[in-house]
Amino acid sequence: CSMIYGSTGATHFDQLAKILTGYEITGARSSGIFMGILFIAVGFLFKITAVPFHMWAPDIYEGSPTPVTAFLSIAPKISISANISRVSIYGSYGATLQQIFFFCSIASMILGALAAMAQTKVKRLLAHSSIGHVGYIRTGFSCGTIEGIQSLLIGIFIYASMTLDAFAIVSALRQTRVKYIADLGALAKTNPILAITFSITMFSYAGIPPLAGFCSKFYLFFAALGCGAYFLAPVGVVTSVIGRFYYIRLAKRMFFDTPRTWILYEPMDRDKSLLLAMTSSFITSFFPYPSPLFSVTHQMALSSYL
Amino acid sequence: MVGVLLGLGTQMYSNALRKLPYMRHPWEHLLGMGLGAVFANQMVKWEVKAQEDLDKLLLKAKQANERRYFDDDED
Repeated sequence: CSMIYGSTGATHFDQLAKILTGYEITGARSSGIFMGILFIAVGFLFKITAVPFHMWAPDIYEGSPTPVTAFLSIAPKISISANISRVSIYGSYGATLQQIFFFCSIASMILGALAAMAQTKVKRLLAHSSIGHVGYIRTGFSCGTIEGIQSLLIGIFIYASMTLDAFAIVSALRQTRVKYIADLGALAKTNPILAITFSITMFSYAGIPPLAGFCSKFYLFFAALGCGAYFLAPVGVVTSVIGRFYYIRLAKRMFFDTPRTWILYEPMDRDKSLLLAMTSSFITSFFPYPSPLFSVTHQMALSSYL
Repeated sequence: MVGVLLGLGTQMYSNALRKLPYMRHPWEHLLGMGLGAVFANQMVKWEVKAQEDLDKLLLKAKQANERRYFDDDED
């Protein structure tokens, strides 16, 4: 920010837009402006755990208390996506920034898919899954079109509800000291409804229809194809397919495996069960009636460009 | 109707997650049905309003584009 202010003398978005729009092709090049925009973008990418600035996420997600991890995996994604959309759309949007975001999207999708396969702890797996999902969501933003921003908003909303669901389940399981994926064995026998809920959440993360996660990924890849990102969409599809391996592995552990040590699952409190019921209902019932979310996100995307 | 079923289903799901009988505390089911009905009705009304606002915004965008490209407006 200070570099941009130092180079342009402006902090207001309207003034910055007049100075920065198309600065690469006019004669107004400045290394200060370029570095300023780059550092702002890097700062944003750090906060949303996009590759290659994701290193902190798995360790912090694993070490923090579960409610804090849930907050860290949802709130920054929403706020930073809104922030960066405003900065980029109102302030400046050059091809350089778009290339950076394309690269980060592809790298996040690939790393999220591959690194999660090696995880043995539930929270670390969810951290890598979150990194992968940031890649998908960045796809929508990288397009720079109204459909891209709309798909970003849809993706964030659905990602938030899926992540709330997942971390509520992890929080309920942590009461019984479940930390490793192997501890989930026979959850289907001790608490079958919780196992079904977890499976639905994982299948939604994997993008399996007719759950909400499928709608979000479909719209994101559709927007990527619409803006001409013909490499991004197939990478997203392939990494989704690879990611399904570890999501379905969780379901397989719950339904078909036996745990290392048998754990008595304690009943959860009412707040968690209500939250789980509401978010699971949203995930399963979104597909037949998506139009409210589509209308409002279209409106939000359009108003940011007008 | 859909809202009522959704609310009732959510409450029964919540009981099932806690490994309680599905109809434990039936007044909570009534509350869920009522809230579900209100939520569904409000959602439908809100969706209609959002669609109208979207149509107005699309018309505004179309007029702005026509002004920009056909009338050579600088703004």
